[in-house]
Amino acid sequence: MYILLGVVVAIPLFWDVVSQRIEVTRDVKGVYNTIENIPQDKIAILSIIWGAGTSAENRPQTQAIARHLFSRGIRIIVLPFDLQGTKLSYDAVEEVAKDMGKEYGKDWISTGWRPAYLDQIIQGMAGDLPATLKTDINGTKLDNFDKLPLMRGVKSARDIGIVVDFTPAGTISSWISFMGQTKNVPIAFSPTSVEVPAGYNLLDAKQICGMLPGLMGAAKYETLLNHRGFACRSSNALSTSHLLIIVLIIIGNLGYFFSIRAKNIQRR
Amino acid sequence: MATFFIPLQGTSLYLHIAGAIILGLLCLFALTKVPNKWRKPIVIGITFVAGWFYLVEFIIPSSNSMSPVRSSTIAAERLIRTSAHDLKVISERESRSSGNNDQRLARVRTSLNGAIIKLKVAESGLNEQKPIVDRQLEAELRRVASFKKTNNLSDKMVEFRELEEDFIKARNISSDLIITGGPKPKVVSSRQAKNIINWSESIYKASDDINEAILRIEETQAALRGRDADYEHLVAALTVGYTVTVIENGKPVIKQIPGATDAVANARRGTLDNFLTPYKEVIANLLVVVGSFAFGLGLYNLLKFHGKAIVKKQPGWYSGLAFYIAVFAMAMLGLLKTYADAPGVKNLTKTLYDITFSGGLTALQSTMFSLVAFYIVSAAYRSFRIKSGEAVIMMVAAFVVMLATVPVGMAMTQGLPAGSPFRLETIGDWILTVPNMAAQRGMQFGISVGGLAMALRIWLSLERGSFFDKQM
Amino acid sequence: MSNLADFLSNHQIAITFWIGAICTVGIFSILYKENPYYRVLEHVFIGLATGQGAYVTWAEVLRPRWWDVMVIQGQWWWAFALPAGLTFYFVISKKNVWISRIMFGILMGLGSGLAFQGFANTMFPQIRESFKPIIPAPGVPPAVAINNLIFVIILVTVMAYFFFSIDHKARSMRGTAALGRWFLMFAFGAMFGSTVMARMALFIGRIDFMVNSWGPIVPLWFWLAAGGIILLLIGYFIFRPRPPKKKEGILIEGTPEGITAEVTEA
Repeated sequence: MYILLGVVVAIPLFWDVVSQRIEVTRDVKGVYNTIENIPQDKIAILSIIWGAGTSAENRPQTQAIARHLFSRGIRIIVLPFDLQGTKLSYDAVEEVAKDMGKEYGKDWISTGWRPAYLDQIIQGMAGDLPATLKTDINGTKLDNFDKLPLMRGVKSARDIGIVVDFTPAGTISSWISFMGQTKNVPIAFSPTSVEVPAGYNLLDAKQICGMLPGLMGAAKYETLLNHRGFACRSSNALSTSHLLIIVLIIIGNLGYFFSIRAKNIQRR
Repeated sequence: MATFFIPLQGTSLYLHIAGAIILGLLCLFALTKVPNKWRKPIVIGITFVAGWFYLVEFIIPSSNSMSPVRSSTIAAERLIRTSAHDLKVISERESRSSGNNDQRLARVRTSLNGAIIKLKVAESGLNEQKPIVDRQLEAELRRVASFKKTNNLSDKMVEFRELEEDFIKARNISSDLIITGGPKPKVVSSRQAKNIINWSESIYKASDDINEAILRIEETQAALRGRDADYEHLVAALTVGYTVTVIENGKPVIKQIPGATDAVANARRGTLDNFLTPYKEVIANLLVVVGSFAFGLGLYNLLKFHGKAIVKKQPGWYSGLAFYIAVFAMAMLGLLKTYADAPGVKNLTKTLYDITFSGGLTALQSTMFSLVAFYIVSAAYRSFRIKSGEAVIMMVAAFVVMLATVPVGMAMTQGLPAGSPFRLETIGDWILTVPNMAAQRGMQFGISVGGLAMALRIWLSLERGSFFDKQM
Repeated sequence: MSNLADFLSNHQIAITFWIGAICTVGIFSILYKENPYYRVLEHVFIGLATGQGAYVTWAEVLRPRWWDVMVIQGQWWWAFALPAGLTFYFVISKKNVWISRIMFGILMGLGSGLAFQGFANTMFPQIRESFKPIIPAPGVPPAVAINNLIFVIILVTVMAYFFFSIDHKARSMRGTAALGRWFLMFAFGAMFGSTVMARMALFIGRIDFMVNSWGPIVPLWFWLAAGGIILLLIGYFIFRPRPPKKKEGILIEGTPEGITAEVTEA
């Protein structure tokens, strides 16, 4: 059974089992439209809560959003709260930045790891962003405009165009509470698939502008950007693995029903 | 107090640092001598006081001078929202060519007039504050400049230099500053001047936001005086705003025009700061630094646990040895790559660190998490039994959601016309956005109320368990 | 040292992929059965994560935000953060563990204070949005009104199910709560489906690494050798000599009933 899973997942990575255009849903479109309408003088914050464990879902999401922001010329601040996520997100965004000719310090920065006192840090950032975050990943002070020209004119929540929260946990409520509701900053939710059902609740209450639901959300975003990345490549593998799970559940239950029936017949 | 907490240099600095650490350690020593009966009240008291900071900051309003601005903006926002709703209804009726809209239009005009009056009251309140805060700014900078000169501060005191840049920027915003001979210069911390600068910026930006809101309302009023008003565009202008494409330097640039309610809300939020607001950033910084010291606790526990296994040669002790090697190797590689002086060592350790991180740590963690996929497959075959009606609903919903989001599910019903309610992705979307969303909200209400009750219990130290045990 | 650095630099990607592949196969070996390779790799993972945590804590937090601020910028009062941070370590002392609770109390107090704000900011908009129009009207098409009605019914019944403060004795309450439990299955089904998707995605990430990153750099002779070893292992497991079968033995006189001795066939 384990080998079957491996085969079922590996084959579609070589070969497109189903060539079906991925339909983009309105939750993903919400994020896309919000980023399309960000004024050029505002910045975007990418909140990185993910680590190596969920990088398969969150990394493609981060890269898709970063690609869109770079294409619009929006400056990015990567704000990691996970130890491994600090380097992983830095490498992920750097890969996209190099691909698009964007420069560290001018077009994007990473602030380095922050311990996850999320509520307090967001509260501080909303009032005075450079004073709360203080330095970037290399220890350069954020108000050193010679080395970090991106930070010129960035003081508080008013200068933030969007916050995208890439998370395997429920940290979105902190961003919504202390940045979205109090400072009217658009918040986008980019969770792993586990958190997706709860995200629809926030979408309906208009607390988030949109959502990238897991790996398929990243695939949909890549479709919107006309860029075929890891997420699009993996969508077929996801299809076959889901079919396998459904088939196994059906077979297991059929076996169970037949065994119950046989026992009842035997008893009679 | 302000004369005590000033940055120092040289021997004086090191003496102060040593003194502070010794004083802190003495306080810790004194705490160990506290009698038993006082310990619990101290912890309860400190927890209670700590909880008040954010609560008070949330509850207390900003200064009295902002009170007319606050009330006017709230009233204006209400009037604008009412107008936007009425325009939406008018638009809907006109599209169906039903009903007479004259009464509603008259109400819209009255509401918008009222909103402009309220916003002008708010604007005049802000304009009264501008010269006051400008004078405070000027006085602060003069005191800081004088302090620098008197104490012969070196270029390392960058905080003060930053203030000059900020002040020049703030002064460019306002053209009617009056430079007076200041009082005898006092020693101030840089934070005080930064707070004044932040407050000044908030007032000026709130004023800009109110002007934007007034512009949107005047645009709407002008459009309504015409014949064929685009009601949808007017609703957007009054609420969420709209985008326009302008040509700048020969390139098309998308500009976001803020809606009236958004602009008014921003203006109000920008003036909500009270005397505790500047300290939120201080608390955040303190927590980050002090909280980081706690990492050593986890490190100590792990080293102790695995060290014991190695020393006592317990079964699997070699795994503990592998742990020790991995900890020290990773830590040393990281520190050497950052702080080593010799370029050869730096390059070598950087490469080794990257290899260990990407090839070792990332691969191991990802693989650990991916093991769950196998357990799900095993559970799907062995354990998931549909034994009741509720289980049927759960499984059907699960199957639809699983298939609807992936290409194979989309391909199954692609023969149906686009927009058909029987397409798998439409059914999946409906399950997620209607019944799932309703159930999630119900659960979320319960969880949030429970969380609030738990927060209250923790704040009031009503929670029992390891926090307060017999030892205290 | 420079030769080593150059070699590592030139072959960094290949070395990284090979180490990644060995770690991946080693961790997946637990699926067959418990083995020492998995245990060692598990401990190596914990060690690497802890070591990286220690380095990042110093290099990205304590050094720039505490040490440099204190020593280079001259803000000596940050030295008080050290004794404050040391209060956490009193957890180790049995006699003075209460001192650690001072700092934990501060953290919990601050967190609790924020919880009220967080509740207001998160919940009030959701409560407001829950009042949806259920009657078709201008701006509310019939399909939307029906969906809103379904939403309201499900929300009320689910909330009734979780309302434990009063007994579910009354028939109306029992019925509503039971209906709520049925409607909850939609959410649980959606959560199950999403969880499956999440876990599969993580596995796909690993397989993609093995197939598309590590696979292309592996030389042909390795595949041939690995294939040969796998065939040998399969052959061994099929044709290996089995241990002799144990037969149920005869009842020995004098022993209590039901006890038989095992007799192994020669």
